[in-house]
Amino acid sequence: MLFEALLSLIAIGLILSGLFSKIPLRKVESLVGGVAILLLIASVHLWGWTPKVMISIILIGGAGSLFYARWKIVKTWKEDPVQFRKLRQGSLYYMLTGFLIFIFSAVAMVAGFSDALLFCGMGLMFVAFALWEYVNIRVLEARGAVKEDLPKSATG
Amino acid sequence: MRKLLSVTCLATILLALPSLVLAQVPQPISWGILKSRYGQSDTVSRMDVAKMVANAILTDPRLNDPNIIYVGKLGPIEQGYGYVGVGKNSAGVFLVYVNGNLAVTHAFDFDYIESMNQVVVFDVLNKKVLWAGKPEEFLGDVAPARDHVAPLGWFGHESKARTVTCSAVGGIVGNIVKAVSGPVGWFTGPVAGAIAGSWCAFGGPEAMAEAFERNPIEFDRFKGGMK
Repeated sequence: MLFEALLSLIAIGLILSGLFSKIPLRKVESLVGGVAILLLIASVHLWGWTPKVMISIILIGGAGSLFYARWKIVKTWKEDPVQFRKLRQGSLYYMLTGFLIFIFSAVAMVAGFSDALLFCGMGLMFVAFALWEYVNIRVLEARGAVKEDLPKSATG
Repeated sequence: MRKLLSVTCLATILLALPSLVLAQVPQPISWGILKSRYGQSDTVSRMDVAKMVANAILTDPRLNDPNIIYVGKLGPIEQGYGYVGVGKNSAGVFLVYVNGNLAVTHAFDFDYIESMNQVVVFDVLNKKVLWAGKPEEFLGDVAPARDHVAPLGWFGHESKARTVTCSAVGGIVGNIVKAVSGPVGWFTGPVAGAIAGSWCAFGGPEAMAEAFERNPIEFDRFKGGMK
């Protein structure tokens, strides 16, 4: 119940930030993210944690978040070089966070706290997602068409 | 000085040896030990009790390959006459009664013979058939018992498969929140992921237990384990 309430708060926070955001892209993505989490909570309420619900979350959420991340990276690369650099930084931070979660959980598991397997797996998922982002960013950077290379007068 | 050091070292080794030996010998767990470990019995969380009951069932040599799905408190809820554990093993569905001292005193296997549409209840501890009949008759007999069972927890998450699946669910939710959160996503993503994963692994069992309480024996759900 506590976790459910916390997750609902996160979803409501995302929806509110989407509603009050003045940036159109942020508005859409926050609303979609918040509604996706609310749908997850509702589906678990309706059907419980059945294998079908879990597999659906993993397949739809996993594929969706990977495609969305890729789309966002390409869009930012084309339109906003400053944000693009922040994306690279963010993915590195995310990778580091995931790696730290993985290491701490692995140590806890070795120490006999078997439930830490949950966080161990999560840490790996975060690292994998961050790697996906980072590789996509580096590939686009290697193409060499980042606008930040342009003179300041050209970008304003 | 050297003598003092030698004596201290020897004394330390001598004192440490018994505890090392004791650590290798499995100690029996009684309700008294539990109480002394966790203080008053009222302060023991439902999950702790459920875990101990599940451990008592899992370590019983008379049950082969048990996989605990559900642990509940049996009897009037305030008093609690004992605990009931439901799960699957190679024989099919089993139901175990655990007393207040966390000792398995009754264990039953439920086998469903599909060709005859018959349920056979087998006493595992005494090795004899107790009951055989149609599923609907059996459900009619056990249904009133649900009023005396309170859910403590669902231990499907004890299986590695559920833990791994829940970690994937947490990871996905974390990635979605990270992706939509902007520059602070590297922090908000893992936090949301941890909450979602914990909800799946630890909050989920409660929901399953409640579903089970509504209908204690669902043959459709266990059919896979009965074949």
